[in-house]
Amino acid sequence: MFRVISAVGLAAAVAGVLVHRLAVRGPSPSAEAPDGRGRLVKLLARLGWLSAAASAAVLAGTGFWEVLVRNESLRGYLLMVHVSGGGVFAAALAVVVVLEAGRHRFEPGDGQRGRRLHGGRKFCFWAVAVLSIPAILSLVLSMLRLFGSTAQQYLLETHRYSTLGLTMAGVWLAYLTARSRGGAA
Amino acid sequence: MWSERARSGGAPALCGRRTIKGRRFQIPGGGFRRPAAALAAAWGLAAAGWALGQQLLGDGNDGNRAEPVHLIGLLDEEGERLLPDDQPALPFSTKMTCGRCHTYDAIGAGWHFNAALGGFPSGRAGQPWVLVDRPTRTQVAVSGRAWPGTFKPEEVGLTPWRMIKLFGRHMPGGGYGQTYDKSPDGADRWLVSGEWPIDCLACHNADRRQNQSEAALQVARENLRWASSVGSGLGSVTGLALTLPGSFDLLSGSAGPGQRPPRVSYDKRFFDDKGRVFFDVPRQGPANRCYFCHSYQQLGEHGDREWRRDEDVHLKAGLTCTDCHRNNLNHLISRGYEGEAQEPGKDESVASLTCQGCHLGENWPAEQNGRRSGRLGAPRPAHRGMPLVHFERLSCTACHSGPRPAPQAGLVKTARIHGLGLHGRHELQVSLPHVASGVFAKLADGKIAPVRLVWPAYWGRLAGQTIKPLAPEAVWQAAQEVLKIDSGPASPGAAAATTEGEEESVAAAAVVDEWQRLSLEQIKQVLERLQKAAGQSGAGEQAAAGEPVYVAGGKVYRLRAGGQVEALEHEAAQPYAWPIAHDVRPAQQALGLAGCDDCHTTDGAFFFGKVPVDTTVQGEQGRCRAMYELEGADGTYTWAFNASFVFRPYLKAVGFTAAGLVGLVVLAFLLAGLRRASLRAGGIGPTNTRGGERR
Repeated sequence: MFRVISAVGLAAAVAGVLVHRLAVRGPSPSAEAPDGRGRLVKLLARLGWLSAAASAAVLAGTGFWEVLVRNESLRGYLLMVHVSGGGVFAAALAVVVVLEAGRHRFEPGDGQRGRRLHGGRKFCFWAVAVLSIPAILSLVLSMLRLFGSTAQQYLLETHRYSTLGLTMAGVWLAYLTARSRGGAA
Repeated sequence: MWSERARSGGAPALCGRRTIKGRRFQIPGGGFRRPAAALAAAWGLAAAGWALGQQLLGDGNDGNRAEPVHLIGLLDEEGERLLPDDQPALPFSTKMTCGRCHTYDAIGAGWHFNAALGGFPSGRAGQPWVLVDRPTRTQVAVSGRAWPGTFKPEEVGLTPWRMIKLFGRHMPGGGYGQTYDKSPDGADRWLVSGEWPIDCLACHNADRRQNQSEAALQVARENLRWASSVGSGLGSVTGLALTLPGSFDLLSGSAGPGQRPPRVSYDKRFFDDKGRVFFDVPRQGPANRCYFCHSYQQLGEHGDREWRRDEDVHLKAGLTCTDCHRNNLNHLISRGYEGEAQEPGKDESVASLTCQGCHLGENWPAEQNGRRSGRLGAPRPAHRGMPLVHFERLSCTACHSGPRPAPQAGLVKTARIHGLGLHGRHELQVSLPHVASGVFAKLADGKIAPVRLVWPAYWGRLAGQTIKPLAPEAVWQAAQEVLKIDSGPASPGAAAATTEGEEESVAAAAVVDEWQRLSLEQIKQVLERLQKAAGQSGAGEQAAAGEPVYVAGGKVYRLRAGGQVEALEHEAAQPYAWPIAHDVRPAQQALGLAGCDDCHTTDGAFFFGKVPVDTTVQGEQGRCRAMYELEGADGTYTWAFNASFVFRPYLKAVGFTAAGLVGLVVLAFLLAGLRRASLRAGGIGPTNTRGGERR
């Protein structure tokens, strides 16, 4: 079941991006607020973004490869890479959320014409942030000796579906970020 | 009369019926050769007849839960009533006595008997018989069932008669006991030894006088038809059928020098004034009866350390073997493994008699999963913190049964393989064959389970990729001067306590514990002799027979062109492993209860324990296999994966910290957003949250 849903979900996210790319123009150059933070913070934020993006790509690749292509549960070296990437992703995402949340605060004009891409990007940012909480917790909680088999099954399903949503939001976030910068340039 | 039997070209000149004491007498086996398929068909028809309603008095239950009282008259194998004062007294026949109320042929196709018949589903691989022939350094798993890695008895030169002679000590009659007349040696003996029907009492008699060791002794003496009379404790038997020629008339023949015809005498105290005997046969046979054939002893728990061992937790809790291993009249006893219910001929309800069936429940609606219990409300395991992948890749028994994994797998004695429980044959040490225990291996269903295993050692012929074993007798005949050993039996065939007073010497021989290993030079010489022996039968036949090889210690040895011996890897040299399920430990002693470290360490015994390779070849001693190899795992990956558990606490810390931080930020902005929305709703308008200045 999850295989079908994830295939449809990921395909819909990618198709949506393609359609949007063809149908919608980029934002106005002045849409993005200037970054007035210090160099160190900017560097840290950039490092966080890069780490989160790279580890997210690894996580999505390893996680969905087994499900979509081999129709098996994650195992072997892929599992080790996946879990290792998970730790990096969690740390990087925490850095990004702490440092970038203020810049992604919703403003009254985010829904206006010319700023919609930024509004969408903020929405995706918060969607990633919110979905990362069950995605991370469902994994680490399952490692504790608190939950039995039935609860473990729920935790696994929670991890699967939250990461699916996370991936879809991440695809859009990456796309909208690229569009925003392209527009700004 | 039995003495009328004439020998004609080695084949029995018998018809189906004879007359004894002026009455018709059914010759066991019917006096004709029955192919296994025909036997299976006959049993199938009988079972079908039973299923269609042609039931006898004891074939079912009328609903009254009180145990029926078995106060019954004894019948001999002709179906005639026996009385304690009969002269000569004849052995009673369980086939006739019990078969009067229970459809014998339906029972005869049961699990404990049908291996000899063929044509029945083999099910999951189980414990085989192990043919050990010390002189030819042969140790090979034998079974009438189609278990990969075992050989059919006929493939290693074992006729049904020889199966009985070697392993009848731990057989419940029936099976080979009713088919051995097909084999030349059996046909030569069966008139004096008699048919060996299913010994119902071997499993069902709750009377503690049931003496299976005595029954085994009668089998060793070829007193087959007398085994039940002695085993049940109703009588005693003197004499040995093995001292008699096959043509001896048991009723009227006069014994020659050294001949001691078997005679039974019943203990009259067991007969009431009507000549009836009370049999204590409850519906559920006691565990004590199962134990005679289903016992084991770990090396290290042997001898005076036996008292330290705990019994299976289910038995201690009050259950007995037959609470789970049930059957109806067809005696297709449930073996209790997952997937058994899907096998042909099995009732689907046996799914509820597995670990999962009792502890997780079966067939409950999905929405009630986790809230309903299995049979008798067995405790539902929480498995807290246990990743679900463990249930995909491990059997329940991996964590809950058998010995805990140790740095090196140990040895075990089992009742059927090592002949435990025979009086006068007390084996304190582990003798051949060497059966490894505490091993974890991947089974055919893809799950890892605790197993026992034997490493095959045999001479055979390699044709293509197939190795067919040679009968030890043939090897001995071809190369006995090369294979001779310093002590032990001088010729093939395990020694048994076949004569009265001989048990002591057998006990002395049984403690020999090790192979006398063969040098490569000896292997070479034997292979050359086997090649020469095949060559005498013509080049074409030699090529068809295949190249002589010796399988031992996980390798196949063969002659190279230059006359040297080379060792090869071959599937046929892999150990035969069979899963075990008992003794089940309490949940508090399950593997993993102490945490992941029970298995997931870089030197943990579950993955990195050593399994010694049992070998008969000099210079090969001390080799081991790592457990992960038998578990079908990659060593490097397993090590790396287990090593990663060092970082698991850090991963948890990072995960919780990250989730906490992200959660707090989300919460903070959510609250700020709520505040802003609330202010806006109150007409105050957008505010700067820092000091409340208007922007």
